[in-house]
Amino acid sequence: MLSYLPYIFSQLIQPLNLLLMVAGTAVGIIFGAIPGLSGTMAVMLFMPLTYTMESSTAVIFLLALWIGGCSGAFIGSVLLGIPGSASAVATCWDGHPMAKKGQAGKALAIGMTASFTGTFFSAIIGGVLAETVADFAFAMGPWEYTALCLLALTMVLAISKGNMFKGLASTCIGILLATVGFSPIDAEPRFTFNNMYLFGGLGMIVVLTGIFAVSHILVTFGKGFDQPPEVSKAGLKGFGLTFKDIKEELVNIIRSFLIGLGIGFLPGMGSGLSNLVAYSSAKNGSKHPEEYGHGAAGGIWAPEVANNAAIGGAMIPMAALGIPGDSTTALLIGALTIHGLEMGPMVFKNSGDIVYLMFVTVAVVALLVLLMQAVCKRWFPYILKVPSWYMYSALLVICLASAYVDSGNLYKCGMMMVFAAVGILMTMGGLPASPLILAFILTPTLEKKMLQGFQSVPSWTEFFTRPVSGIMMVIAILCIFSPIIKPLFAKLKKSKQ
Amino acid sequence: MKVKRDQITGLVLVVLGIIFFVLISQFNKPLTAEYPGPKLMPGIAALGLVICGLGVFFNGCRQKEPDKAIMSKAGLLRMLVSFAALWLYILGLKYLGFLIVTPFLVYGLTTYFAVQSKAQTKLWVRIVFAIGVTLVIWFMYVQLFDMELPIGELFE
Repeated sequence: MLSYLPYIFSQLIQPLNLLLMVAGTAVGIIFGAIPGLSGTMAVMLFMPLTYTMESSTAVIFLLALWIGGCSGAFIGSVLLGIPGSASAVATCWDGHPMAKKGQAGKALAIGMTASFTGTFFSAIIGGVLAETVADFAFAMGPWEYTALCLLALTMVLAISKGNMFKGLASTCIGILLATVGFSPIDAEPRFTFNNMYLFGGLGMIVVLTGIFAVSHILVTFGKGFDQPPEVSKAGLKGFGLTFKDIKEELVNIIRSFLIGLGIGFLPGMGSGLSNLVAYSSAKNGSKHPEEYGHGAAGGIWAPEVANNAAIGGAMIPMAALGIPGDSTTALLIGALTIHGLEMGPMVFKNSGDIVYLMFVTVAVVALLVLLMQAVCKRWFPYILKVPSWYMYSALLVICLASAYVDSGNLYKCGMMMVFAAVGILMTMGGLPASPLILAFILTPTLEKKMLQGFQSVPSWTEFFTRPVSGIMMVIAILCIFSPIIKPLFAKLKKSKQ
Repeated sequence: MKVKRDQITGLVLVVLGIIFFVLISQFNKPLTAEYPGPKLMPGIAALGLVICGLGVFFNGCRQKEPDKAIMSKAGLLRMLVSFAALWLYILGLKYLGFLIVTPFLVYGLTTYFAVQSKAQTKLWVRIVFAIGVTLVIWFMYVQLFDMELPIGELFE
């Protein structure tokens, strides 16, 4: 890694890269802070802008958007009691009560410091571990890869409480959308209806922006926009945090960091789950659990450290295996592929400079986020007061412009609207979007590796007789049935008692 | 008995799964035990849709409490009007191009969103915003990042 440092440094000090890093971070924080938007949406909307950029510049810009979005999510949770994204749900439970007690400044300072701690140190650990994981991945054949992709898809189902069928249905829709176009290896046209625009498959931007962004904006409008909230600006002066405060929560911080890193590393999981697990561990491990839910500092530290530590965790399988840790890393894998960077074990040999640039960028952006948030803390209430009618009309234009520049024709804009309709119908039917995103990104790799496996050894039993793929297949099957198995075990335990 | 939302969702998923099965059966390359070919992945997904559809349908049958409304009829209409406006915008892009049509869409949507949300906005602010957004996006994509936005068939 050390040999790449001169290259990394030369990239980071380039004026354009610096400018895009700052702009990306600021935009990411705004997208993260405003409930209804997210860092994922920011990455999705601005991804087409990177098509004409150098790979290194694109990486820096997209990561700045992502990290800014992840780190900004706590702002809405603290000041409004509404999470900026799923990764900051648990932050609301103590962040907002603390703000209501007149300690908004302290709550925000904890959020900022916790976000920095989680992101910065997880990026360093990720950078150190990723190549080792990649070396291990060299030993994996197509069967193991297929099993790993399946595991990533099914792990999402394990956490979809009460709507396993809907989560699985969303995954199936994602798989079907990903199979449009010529099939890998055999080049058989699938679901193309002799339409030349479909031969190359459905574009990632077209499908995901339609389903994820346009439909979300239209549904939100259908439900009725909220009036800009009244946010108190009291207690926002000064940093609001002392070393003593940090020292008191050190055990909680370390535990939450490890939880976030571990959950982020698991394929298919991410910050959405890590913040909830860390919060519950912090509450269980606290000497004063009764304070949780009423503005306890530990209740902000835990979810914020964990959801940001998941970033470095998620980057390890992303870089070393080409497997996304969550929906944003799935998008990043797609975006990097467009720039000729195919994530996976070979990436360290072919583009090691860019991979390490990614990890260092995340660490640098974490520092930048902390600085920007500390300086701009008193303006956070104004971000939350941006009226929805201005914001969403501009975002809809950006969505359509993205679809156009992605393909260079208006047909894809029309297709995006079709997928917006699909997204609206999915929302009405209660189908979650995250499994679809993961399935859409993972299916091409999964199918290609599986067919390669069958070309080498034409037998299904390989899945289960090879130790690594066998273990992963068993876990994948357990994940599929876990929403059924878990209540059965709970019932059995109850009846025994 | 009132039909539940999950029952409709389930049936739609089952029908979708069956349609995809029919389409998959028309692929040329056969699915064999030695080599699954291009049919396997979409086949699994189509089968999954049917199974999940049935699961969602039966969950809906067991559901006792009435469905919570996702949005009112007025909300649905609002959504459809915005959806139609975006289609019109794409049509406008085709003939008139980005710079001419976008201010009208942004102004129209901002006004419609604001009026429907019972918000007070000033006319000149909406006009300046519509023109500003158009120019900023144009500058960002075309000038800054060297990309193309539609210029309209009438001006080509």
